[in-house]
Amino acid sequence: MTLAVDFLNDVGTQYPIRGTHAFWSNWTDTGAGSSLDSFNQSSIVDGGTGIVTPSYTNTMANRFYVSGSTGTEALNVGFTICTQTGNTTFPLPNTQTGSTRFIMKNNSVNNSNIDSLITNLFVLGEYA
Amino acid sequence: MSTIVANALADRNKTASKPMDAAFSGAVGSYLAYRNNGVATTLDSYNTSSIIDSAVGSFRPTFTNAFANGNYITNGWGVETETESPPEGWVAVVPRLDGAGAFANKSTTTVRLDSSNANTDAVVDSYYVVCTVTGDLA
Repeated sequence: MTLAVDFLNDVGTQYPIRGTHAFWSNWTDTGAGSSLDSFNQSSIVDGGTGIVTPSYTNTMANRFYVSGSTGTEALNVGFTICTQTGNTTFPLPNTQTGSTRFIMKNNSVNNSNIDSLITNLFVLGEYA
Repeated sequence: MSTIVANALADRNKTASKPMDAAFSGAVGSYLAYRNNGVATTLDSYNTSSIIDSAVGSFRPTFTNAFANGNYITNGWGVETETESPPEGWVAVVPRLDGAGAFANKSTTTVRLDSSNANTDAVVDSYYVVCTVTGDLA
């Protein structure tokens, strides 16, 4: 039996099904950043060296969702992790319901911001 | 509360029925917990038919159900040894980028992953790593 539906709803909360990613994006930045593939991403902005801010089609219910990422800086050149920092627009934990500011850093090189060949971003949480 | 039981779902954009996990774009397509402290061991996994020990710190899972394209994401972390504590001992699990092209080691059915020490970038065998793979299944 196959069941086809437009949307799924749990009690009081539109999808996603809990436990699945509310957002993910495969971001690459070798000078001109681009998103190779994504889910629930309305746009993504290259904010300068090592900074990227995706916005969400379906917004999150609050700012306290889980976000994470790992990446690879370049061919055979170490790896990066993505962290978030606070500023006026994105106060700690540097998230908004409609977007998240990620900053890519290479831990082995003085934690400097770097553009990465592969950056894998994700968010887990509930939609509004 | 009612419960619907189905063997397959079709999402709103695709007419073909899919396995339950493939119908949701946000679902994890594969995950694994892996150890290589001399003997490569798969501790747990989902949607992986095999995991090959490719080289020091490098391993390659093969997916039972293939992904729709090679642009899925991977995320993983772990520790290099049982006794080391962060940050000295922790590693990141990332796609290996070498060969003919940037994404030569990443396909719809398999990806070569490296566990790299956070402080040195060295690719190292690790006591314990976990990794998720998320994307659209074929």
